[in-house]
Amino acid sequence: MLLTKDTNPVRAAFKWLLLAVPLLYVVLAMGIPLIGIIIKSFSTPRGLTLKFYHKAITEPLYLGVLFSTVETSIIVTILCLALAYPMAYLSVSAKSQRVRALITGGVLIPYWISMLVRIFAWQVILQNNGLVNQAMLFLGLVRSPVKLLYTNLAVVISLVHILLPVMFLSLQTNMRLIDRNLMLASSVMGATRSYGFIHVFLPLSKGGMVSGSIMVFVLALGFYIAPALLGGPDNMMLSNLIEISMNNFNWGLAAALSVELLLLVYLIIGVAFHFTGNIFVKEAR
Amino acid sequence: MLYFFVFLMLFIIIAPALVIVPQSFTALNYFIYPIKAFSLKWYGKFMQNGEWLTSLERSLLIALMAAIVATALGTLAALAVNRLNFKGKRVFMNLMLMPMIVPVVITGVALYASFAKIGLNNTLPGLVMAHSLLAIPMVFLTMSSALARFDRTLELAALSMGSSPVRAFFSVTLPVLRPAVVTSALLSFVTSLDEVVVTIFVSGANTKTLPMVMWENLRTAIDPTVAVAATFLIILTLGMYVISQMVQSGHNR
Repeated sequence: MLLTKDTNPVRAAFKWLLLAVPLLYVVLAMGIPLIGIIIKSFSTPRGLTLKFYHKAITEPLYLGVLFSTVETSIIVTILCLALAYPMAYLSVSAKSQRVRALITGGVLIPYWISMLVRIFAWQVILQNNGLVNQAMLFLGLVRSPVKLLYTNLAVVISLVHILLPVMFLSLQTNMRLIDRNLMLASSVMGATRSYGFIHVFLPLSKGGMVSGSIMVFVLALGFYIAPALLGGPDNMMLSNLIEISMNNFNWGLAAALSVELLLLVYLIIGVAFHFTGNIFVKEAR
Repeated sequence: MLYFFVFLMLFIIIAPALVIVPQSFTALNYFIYPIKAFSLKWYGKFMQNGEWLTSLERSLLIALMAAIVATALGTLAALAVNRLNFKGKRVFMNLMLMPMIVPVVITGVALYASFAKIGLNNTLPGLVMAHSLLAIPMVFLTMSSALARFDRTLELAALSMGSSPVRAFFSVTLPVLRPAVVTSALLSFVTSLDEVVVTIFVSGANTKTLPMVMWENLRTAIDPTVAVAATFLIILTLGMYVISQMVQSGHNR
């Protein structure tokens, strides 16, 4: 077998470079800096301390940001699931191959358009004289422009826009594996289409729903640009708080908040992987 | 009903990304629809302003180098997982995916603190390192899935014909994997071209990238030059998407 059973010692050593080179790079560039942050979160010039953590979990302002970050991420996850599900469903079940390709392509195009550009676009669309307000004024839904920009709604809209493809891909990968004959069988047995969908298809697509939701939720937790450009001062997320603390040279607090966010992310992933296996790796298979 | 919903959603997904493009041709100095007068003056401004042009060039250079580094390292990592048996494989895989999972602000803060000690902040090598790090998981995932689908008997055939393992890899395995390698490289290129958050931390006055200049403009005074920059970014990244689709469909035929 290539590279696996090799008696030549030079080649045997060479093959371990496959492993060692990327490992060394990621450990040096990511592992060590992260450990540095963890150390910083416990240290003051005078020695070890827990005061930054104490501050991070007792100060109402910081606690409030933590809760609103989780809340926003949950809302974004639910919206992504609800909106991506019908699209993923049609992208695997539409009769016309062209329609299926069109849906998949359409969902993936924005994925390749710069995230910063997409957030900038929402700034233009949601501003007081932007397209949404113009449309609502024209239709007579409102009498004067509604403040949409610099609100939590704007942040949620742009996060859903950015993370929808992630949910879509996860659902689609899973739905492609569902045996179509099962739906056929249920209709032969007299089930209506909606009954068959609810009792056969929906339960079988649970795997994709779970893994997609975990990914979207975890990614939403760490967002920085969207809240910074579209949210108001009250719509800060944890990432923004970390950046602000760092810019105020409050390194200990920034580090403690970073560890808090990191723990949150890995806790969720850890619990989820315990039940589903490593979804990030499975996704690629 | 379902079709109507799905196509409405597709429109809502795609349209916002493109509303910026017409705004780059406006004659006004703010963003409003409908555009009453068109002009190319913002393109002129973009071209005359040294900061925009140098940052665009710098972004392309960094993206190119980051793509090379990330593609090489991510491919090595995927090969290691696919071809070697070693203890702690799961730990290794989780490490390779870490730059994707760790929130970018944390990566930014951590890199800034470490780079400060070795003088890598506000340097091109520092930015290439940061961007390639963020792109490694994409390459790793793309290459892992391509390797999982790869038919090993081809390689064994080459070996049984007396080819050396290294030669078999370069003359049989790599050509079959080429579309995945190209996709990986394009994905990493776009990842770097689009990166803002880590860049905010590790770049400085001498190393501003295009998204970095855009970011600064978006936070302060917005004028339609930003829309010009955004249009260039859209063309560049969509170009990458089109190339990746062409490479893939060419491969499937």
